[in-house]
Amino acid sequence: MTRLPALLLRAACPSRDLPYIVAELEMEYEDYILPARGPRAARRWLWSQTARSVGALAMMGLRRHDWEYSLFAIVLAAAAPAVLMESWWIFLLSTVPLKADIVRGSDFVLMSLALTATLGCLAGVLCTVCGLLLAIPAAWVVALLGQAAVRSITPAWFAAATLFALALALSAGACVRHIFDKPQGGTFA
Amino acid sequence: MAKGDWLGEFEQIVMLAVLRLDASAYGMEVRREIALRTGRDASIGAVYSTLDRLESKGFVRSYETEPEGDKGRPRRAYRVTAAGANSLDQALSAIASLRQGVRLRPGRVEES
Repeated sequence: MTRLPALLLRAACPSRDLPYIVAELEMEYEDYILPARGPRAARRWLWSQTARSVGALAMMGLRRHDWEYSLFAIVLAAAAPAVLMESWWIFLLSTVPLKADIVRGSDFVLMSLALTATLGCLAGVLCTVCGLLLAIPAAWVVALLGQAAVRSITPAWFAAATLFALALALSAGACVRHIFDKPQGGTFA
Repeated sequence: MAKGDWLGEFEQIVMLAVLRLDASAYGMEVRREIALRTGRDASIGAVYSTLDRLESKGFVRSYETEPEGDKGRPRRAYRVTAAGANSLDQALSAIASLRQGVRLRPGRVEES
């Protein structure tokens, strides 16, 4: 089976069903579709099946409360620092009588990054190492949207540092989980 | 019948396919049967997600079967439970009852 569709399925599918779904797709692809339609059409079929399955499978994991696919928690962890730091900034501004030329200092930026790393690490514990494939891009999108939405007066490197901190913290959390709780993957996981 | 026990259209289709396939009701076979009988090209993800929902309602039961083929691929088959058959029967009877006496001929339906 082609590598990328398999990776996408592994990222979205709950671990209990992953071996069966990957095995059935492989079997259908290799035994029926590939001999009947040729490599090009078979690849197109596989991509179509994967693209249409990813959403349904991720929803299945969420419905079943499989925490490794709890993208909701990860998205919250990515969005929360922007919201919390903005609230804090608004409070600070309300205490300053003269607001001209006021900028967010490095202490503010460091606090924000520390909060991002802490929440990211906690959310990462809910995620498997495979789930990181979906969790990190989702968290990045949310963090960037959050930063774009608030009135950020921060250094230019802040956005890049936030993305780096998120990826690192989520990965660290997922590794911690991996050490204590290896998911049952089956033959093809 | 509780609100959550009502079967959606795709759930009914999946349950009928599982009943038709009997012992060989694997996810991909269910998908293929649906495509063959209804012309609906469902994704494997949609089929598994629906089977999972039905299993959580207690309408189907899954069990692992012996690995197949040279590669020893793991497989999981599904069977409809008595509660599932009962619920499906009620849903199909309700549709049949509503359908009775309704003629889908020109003049009775609005022309688009």
